[in-house]
Amino acid sequence: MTEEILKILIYGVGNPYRCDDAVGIKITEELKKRIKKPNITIKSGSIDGLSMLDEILGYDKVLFVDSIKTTDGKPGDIYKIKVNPLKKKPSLSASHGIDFITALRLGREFGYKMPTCIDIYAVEIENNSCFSEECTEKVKASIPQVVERIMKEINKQGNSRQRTRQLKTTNEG
Amino acid sequence: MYKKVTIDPITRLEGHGKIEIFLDDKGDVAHACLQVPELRGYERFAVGRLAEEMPRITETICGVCPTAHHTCSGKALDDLYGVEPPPAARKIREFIYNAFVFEDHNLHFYFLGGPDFIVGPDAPAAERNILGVIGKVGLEIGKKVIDIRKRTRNIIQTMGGRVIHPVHCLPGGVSKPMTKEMQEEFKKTAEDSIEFAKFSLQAFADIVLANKTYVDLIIGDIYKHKTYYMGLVDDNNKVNFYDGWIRVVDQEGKEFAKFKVHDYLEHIAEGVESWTYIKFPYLKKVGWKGFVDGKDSGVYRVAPLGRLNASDGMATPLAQEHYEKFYETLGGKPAHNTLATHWARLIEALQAAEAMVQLINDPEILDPNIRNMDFQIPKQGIGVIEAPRGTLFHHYETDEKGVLTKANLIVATVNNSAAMNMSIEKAARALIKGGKVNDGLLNMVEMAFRAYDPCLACATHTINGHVPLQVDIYNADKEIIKTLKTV
Repeated sequence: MTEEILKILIYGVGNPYRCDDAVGIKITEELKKRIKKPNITIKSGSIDGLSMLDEILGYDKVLFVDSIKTTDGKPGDIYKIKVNPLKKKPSLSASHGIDFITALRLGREFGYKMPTCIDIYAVEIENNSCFSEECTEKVKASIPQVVERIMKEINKQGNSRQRTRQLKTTNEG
Repeated sequence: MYKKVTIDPITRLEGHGKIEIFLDDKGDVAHACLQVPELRGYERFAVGRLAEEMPRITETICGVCPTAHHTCSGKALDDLYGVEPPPAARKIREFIYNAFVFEDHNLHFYFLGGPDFIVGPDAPAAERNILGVIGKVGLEIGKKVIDIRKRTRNIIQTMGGRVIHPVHCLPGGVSKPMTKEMQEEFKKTAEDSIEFAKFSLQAFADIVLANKTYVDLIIGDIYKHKTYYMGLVDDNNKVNFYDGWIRVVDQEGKEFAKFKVHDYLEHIAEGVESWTYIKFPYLKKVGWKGFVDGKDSGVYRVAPLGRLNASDGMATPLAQEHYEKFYETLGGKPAHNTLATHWARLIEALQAAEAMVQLINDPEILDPNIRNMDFQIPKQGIGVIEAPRGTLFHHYETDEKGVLTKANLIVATVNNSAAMNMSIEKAARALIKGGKVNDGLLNMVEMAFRAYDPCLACATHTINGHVPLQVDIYNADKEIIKTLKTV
């Protein structure tokens, strides 16, 4: 029996020259050094909703890595957010083009094969208005932690699929 | 005593900005302005860096016009190092650039400005978006929009290496030649782009021009300003997005100035105001008289309306036919109607598509000689290009090793900053009377602004992109007396 390999996209979102805004890019740079699997694509850049739709089509699972500013968060806090486009209203507002949720809704509306799972790892940031290629200290310190969490998630997924494959082999035997 | 109405952030545009409307005691508009509370420091950030990094750095100013910044920066580097790209390199750059203009203009029409007309200015806010557009034009058309955009962006991806921040422009040429296989694929995309541009113009005619209310809105006084206009033209004074003469016409359409980019500082000066980070360029020889139009005010406009007004016509035959219809409908040239920018944008998209077909069928585009490496000692380099949102200038000064000592960027949207303020105020004055402020009226004020397709450059983004339009109305004691939210 042939095992279906999940196609995974990990996308670091941000501006490389705007201090903490680059945290997602820096995390994906680290991941690129450690992940060498043909089914996993790692990319980064500034991205709007519509471009995001172009990027995620054809993947089973997508992990965005991004910066975030919340009301009560502390710089360096790490969040994992599950994206469910059906739970939110589409918005007419966006940084440009269309927003993230509207893009996902649009993809479904068109009947495109959309990823079954879209998650966001986000790091609470301190400064995204200064020009710098370095993140601030607390944000920088969070980078290895996010890398480890993503590595663990990817490996767990791999192992679980391996176990599934072994079980299937056993059953077939 | 006055009340203050704030639209913050403005919806459906790139970057962060807010419109503030100040009401007097009677509830009429005393003053309105656009604020940009974000300081872009790229010019300072660039100093001390190698000039050759600039095409890759400046394109991160925002996620909307990276190809414009990248190409303009590449042209500034050609000038800096005194290297003229070989013909194939220039054609590849122009081909990619026209593909970019085409896709960006379509994005604006269908996703940003278009909902105002296709769905309607009075439609509920929750419907004035792309899903509302699709509801109106049908799912199949929606798919066509997405498909052609994807295919034109594939040109940038293939030739530029990356679609969002391409890397093809190098001083004296481009990074890779075009293969025969690429050419064959791009030919189909270019031909389909013409058909799509024709379709969009037909849709505009059917939905907008056939509706008297919309036409009245376009030609009405609310959205009108008599300003100077600026745009790049070729030797025949036809619209050119990539290169040429910078031409300025006056309020009657008479040529006021025509110059090459090296002389831009003789013609353009930039003013500042204490209440915003955005600068206000104006025509130096006329002078800054504040936020007013007319012959004595140095305020000029760029972008599709500015380009069409500043030219003697389009450079391609089908676009020229629409250019003639455009001025016939609007009562002659120049057209001062801000909302006609949407129509001008679609005519430009058609020229871009026709130019793509011309360029891709030119056998010279396959020539592998794509780089001129005969570099001279650098000192100063200036580039100009027509970004979708207007004339874009990159000006670098370096030491003899090519390390930047000074950078000056006049970004497309900035050229229109004074005019945008004027348009917002005029629309607000006409539409908000006796303190009556509702969502529909505010959208019509925003429409004045959206027509310019402004790009205020943004480094931030929200998780779900949900940035609700919020309007706060303050009394004279700065207490919020009413809050309106769109979604």
